[in-house]
Amino acid sequence: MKKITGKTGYIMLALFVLWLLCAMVSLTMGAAQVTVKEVVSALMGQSSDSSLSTIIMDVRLPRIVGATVVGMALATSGTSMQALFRNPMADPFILGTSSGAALGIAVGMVLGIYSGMLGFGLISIMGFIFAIAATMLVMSLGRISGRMSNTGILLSGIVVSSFLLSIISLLYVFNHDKIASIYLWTMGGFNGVSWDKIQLITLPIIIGVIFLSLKAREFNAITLGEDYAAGIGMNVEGFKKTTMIVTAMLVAFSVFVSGIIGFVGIIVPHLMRMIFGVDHKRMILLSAMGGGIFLLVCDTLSRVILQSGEIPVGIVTSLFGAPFFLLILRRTKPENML
Amino acid sequence: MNPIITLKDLSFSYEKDWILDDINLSVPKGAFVAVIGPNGCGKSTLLKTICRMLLPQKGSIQIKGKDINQYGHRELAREVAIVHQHANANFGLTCEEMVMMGRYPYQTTWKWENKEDSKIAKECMIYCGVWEFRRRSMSELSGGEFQRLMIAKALAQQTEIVLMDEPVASLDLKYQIEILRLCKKLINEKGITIIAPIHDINLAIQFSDLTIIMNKGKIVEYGETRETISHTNIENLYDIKVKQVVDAEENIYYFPAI
Repeated sequence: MKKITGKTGYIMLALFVLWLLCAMVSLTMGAAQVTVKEVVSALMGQSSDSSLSTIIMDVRLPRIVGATVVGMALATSGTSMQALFRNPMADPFILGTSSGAALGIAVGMVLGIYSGMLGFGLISIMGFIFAIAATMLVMSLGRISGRMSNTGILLSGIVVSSFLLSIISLLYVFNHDKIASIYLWTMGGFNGVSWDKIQLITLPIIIGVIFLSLKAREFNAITLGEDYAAGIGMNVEGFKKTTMIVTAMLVAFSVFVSGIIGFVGIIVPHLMRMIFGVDHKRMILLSAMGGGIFLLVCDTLSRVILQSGEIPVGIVTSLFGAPFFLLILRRTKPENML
Repeated sequence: MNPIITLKDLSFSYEKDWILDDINLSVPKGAFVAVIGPNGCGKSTLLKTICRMLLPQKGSIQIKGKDINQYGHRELAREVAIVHQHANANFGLTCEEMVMMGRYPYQTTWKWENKEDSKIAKECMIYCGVWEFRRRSMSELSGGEFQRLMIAKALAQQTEIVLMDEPVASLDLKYQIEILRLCKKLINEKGITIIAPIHDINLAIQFSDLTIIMNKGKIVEYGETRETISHTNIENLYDIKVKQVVDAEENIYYFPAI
């Protein structure tokens, strides 16, 4: 497959139009079928049907924004981690962030802490704190001879993740009655996402994405090798540390809203590289937009595939994304991969 | 004349054994300095300490009379460029994008490449004969072309010192000569100082002005190439018998006596 080399601005505009189309389709779909005209009047605040207006403005729209923002965060984190570790399989979950979050949530559920703080469930806040703590632990364990080692961090991430997941399994064993709720949460989803949560995560995620996109030249350099990056004047240690903290924050904010959604951080960056090439100057922002669109589409499918109820979005990301990914992979030139 | 690089009592170790052991060195501006010695004698480590990729446990390094630790990351990269032996050539950037990275030390978070950077990158690519490849992915280049591209990138850094880690390793004879001629051109026309470990002692004799002989982390000889690379020194260094051949133009060549 030949890469698309048009101006980044035009590509981004095209992706934005695609996102608008997907968002509009998503707003019309669901248990209550709504026409485009009704959606537009609800968005303009001119709908006479208050229940329809509530469905559009307070149920579907926050969900669309949430899926988009979380998709952006996960895809950007995946792109950054793969460049940082020069490993196509790296994504933020390998840093132990997701298993940390899962443990935090599981502990909260077992202890029955359902009270709120600032309008947010204490359980979500525990997930957030555990996610950051697990990442910090991996970063400190991954130091070899005083320096952050890629192999050390990847291995520490895998070991810490396995360890934390074992603790979760132990919690399952001793708390049969709560297995269903914990398990469902770990599958991820946007059911019941409120504007309060969206407001909290959107700004930090957008700042994080912009920050990482401003580091595009550094990502290009470090992909060529750490010695190479240091040779052109990069502070490699500082860059690695900052990137890991920012990506962990992005993932922690995502987990806070949607639980654990796998696959986006792996599939979207690779997909965008295969289509648009490897240069991070365009890749970071294009990945963010691609991640937003991908997760929005998956979330819409997750709530309309079944007549009754919905399926966890993590299942849709894999079912829908894997075949598409493999199709593109077979047609991609080696230099458009990491 | 003040030396451009000065190393004083420099020692470096990864764990317990000294990889560099009490190194003292002064390099004059505009010299081509070859570093020869057996594998593992500390040649690459020496280069990495000079560009601060490795921090020595003892001693000091001065670049243009200023302690290396007083330089910022970008500031140092405006004084010293390094051409690595290995870079991830499979990363699909174009050759022009690759050379443009040499302008990184002159940019900031908010100030990215400008027209001046593009102009300098173009000049460096033309100088090194890689302008015609500018649109090609660097993964498509041959070994010699890739090495010329990396030198163009180093040149784009506009430094007075270029460190080259075994610049002709794994190149065929044609490219070995071509790369070393390019190095001489950089020295003669731009006054750049080059330090390069070179395994082929005959190439070192033909192209370098000064030679450092290293063994077991120490500098055992340093001086004018013709005087430093002698029959006795080579036999002692590699612990083998060598034959010396002198051609009609009084060029000296050494070959292992098999």
